[in-house]
Amino acid sequence: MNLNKIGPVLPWRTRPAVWFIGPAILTAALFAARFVDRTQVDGYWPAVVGGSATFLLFSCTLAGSAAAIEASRMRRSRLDVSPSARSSTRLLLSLLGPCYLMGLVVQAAAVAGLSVGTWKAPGHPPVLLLAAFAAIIALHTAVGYALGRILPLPAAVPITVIGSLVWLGFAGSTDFFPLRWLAGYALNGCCDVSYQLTPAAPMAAILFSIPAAGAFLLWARPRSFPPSTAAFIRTSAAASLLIAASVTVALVVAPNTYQPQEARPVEQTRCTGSQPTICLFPEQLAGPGHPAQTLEAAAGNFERVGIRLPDRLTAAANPPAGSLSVVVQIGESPANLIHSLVDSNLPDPSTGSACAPARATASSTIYGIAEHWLAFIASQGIVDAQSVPTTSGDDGRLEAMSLEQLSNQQQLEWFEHNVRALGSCTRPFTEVPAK
Amino acid sequence: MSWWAKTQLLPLVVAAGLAAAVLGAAATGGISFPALGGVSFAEVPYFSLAPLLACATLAATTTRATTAVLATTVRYAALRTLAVSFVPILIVGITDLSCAAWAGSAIWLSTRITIGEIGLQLLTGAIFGYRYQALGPAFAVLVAALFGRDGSRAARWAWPIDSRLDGWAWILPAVICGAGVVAHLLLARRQFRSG
Repeated sequence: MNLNKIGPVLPWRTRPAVWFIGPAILTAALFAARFVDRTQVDGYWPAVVGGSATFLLFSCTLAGSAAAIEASRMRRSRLDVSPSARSSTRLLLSLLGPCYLMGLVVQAAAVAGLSVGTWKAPGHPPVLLLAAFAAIIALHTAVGYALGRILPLPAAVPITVIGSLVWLGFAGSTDFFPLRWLAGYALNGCCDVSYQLTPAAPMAAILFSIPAAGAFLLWARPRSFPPSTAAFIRTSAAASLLIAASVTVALVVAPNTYQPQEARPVEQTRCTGSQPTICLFPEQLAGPGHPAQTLEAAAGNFERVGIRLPDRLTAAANPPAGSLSVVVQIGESPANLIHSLVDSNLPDPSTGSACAPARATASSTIYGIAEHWLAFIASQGIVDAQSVPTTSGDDGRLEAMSLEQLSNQQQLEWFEHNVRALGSCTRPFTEVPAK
Repeated sequence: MSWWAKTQLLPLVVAAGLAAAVLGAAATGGISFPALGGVSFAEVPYFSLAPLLACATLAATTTRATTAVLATTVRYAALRTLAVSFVPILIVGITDLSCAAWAGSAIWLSTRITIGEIGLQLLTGAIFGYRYQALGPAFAVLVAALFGRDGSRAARWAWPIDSRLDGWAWILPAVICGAGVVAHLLLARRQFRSG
């Protein structure tokens, strides 16, 4: 006998996972083209891998529905109750292996597609997130298989598809935050470059998904359904495992936070220059453009008109005392960088909008003038001031141009007085003096 | 119908239709999928999920019933199946008339989506085989949830998640239902035999 001609027990062309892989990847690609903005994640590995959690909708649906069809075939062929030389575990592996594998392929394709702009970036894909995806896909495969064992095929497959959608979507958006991390879909909120993954979030998905998948497989394993003491013990053990895993992970492991991220330590930044020192993360420095030079030049422009900045500008979300935190996205244009620096020098606009209506309107106007004026100052010699985006739109642009016509001293006095007033609801504003 | 009643499949379909009607009317809100970056980009209302319960039950019972009585009575089997397929629509519609006073517009949405999903189920069954018929409505909800957005609201074509109740919103489900009935009657013979 020619051993090379021996293939798998069931030919690949008959496996539903193989039927579904093409449509799943095609649909995921269409979805990515329509809804996914890759620039949000480019250059930072945790963001790339975290963002690919969005595509769990495709990988889990594929794995679950293929497993439901396989289980239903097993049910119809009576393979699940007839004696077999193969152990239950081997039987399960041969049935569910391709389903799980194809789910992983879809997820890997999503990670690969999102990481196109990140291959040369510092760092590496977070292994914990990848492990969480593998565990989540295993859970959906096991649930699809269990539904295929207990329901007829015409009901099992649609219920598996919608079950995956509902579990990922509902748990991923519920206000009971620990539940979000059990489903894992909300891992797509990780991470801005100033933040890193909270390890507890993917750990919760792993520690819930693996026991839960084990529980479903234990309950619905082949030859487990004829009523017997052993089957009763297995069902009780599976139910206990599922409940224990859900409760323990939700209450102990899963973080009670909205996003799966925490501020990166300041020590991870690399600092350059002096007066002020610019501290950025390696991914920001390795990205396109020269953010440190742009920020240094803009800070120099501020110093020239007498606006004192702290000694250190940092991209860290938790800046040390005496530092100014500036939001710096990877590959950000000089105009956007100046916008970030300008807004960092102004009080939070929500302070003014929380005041009485008349005061809130005045605050908004003053905020616009101050923002445009700072943008004029900071952009000199770097970019055209008109190209710098502003939070206030065009409000205050004309007044800011009038302000710029005054002497340096007058401009500075107006700015310092009104910025202090923006931080309160009672301190009076001053109008831009006439020239 | 009597065969359906005798084999206890009809009560199952009626119960599923009632459950779908009540769930569709009672469950307010929906599932918001967080898009990349944590901002929600789509909401799947619960009223679009409830009729799937009736669809799945109908698919299971239809497949079981038709495989048992096919050999010689294909045409009658097709007509009986068609009649039973309309049971959930009737149940949801009657529940609508009874409950519209307290349930408001949600229950009308439930009727509209049930009509569309049952029609799609008949169409899918006629084309791909009755074993896979409930996949049609399930994938319709999935595709509408993933792609059916027009700015901040559902696109016109995404009727399974659209909460509007104007004339246009009824047209697509009605057309799909009509196409499903025609396809069922034309193609049922071949599909019944192939199972």
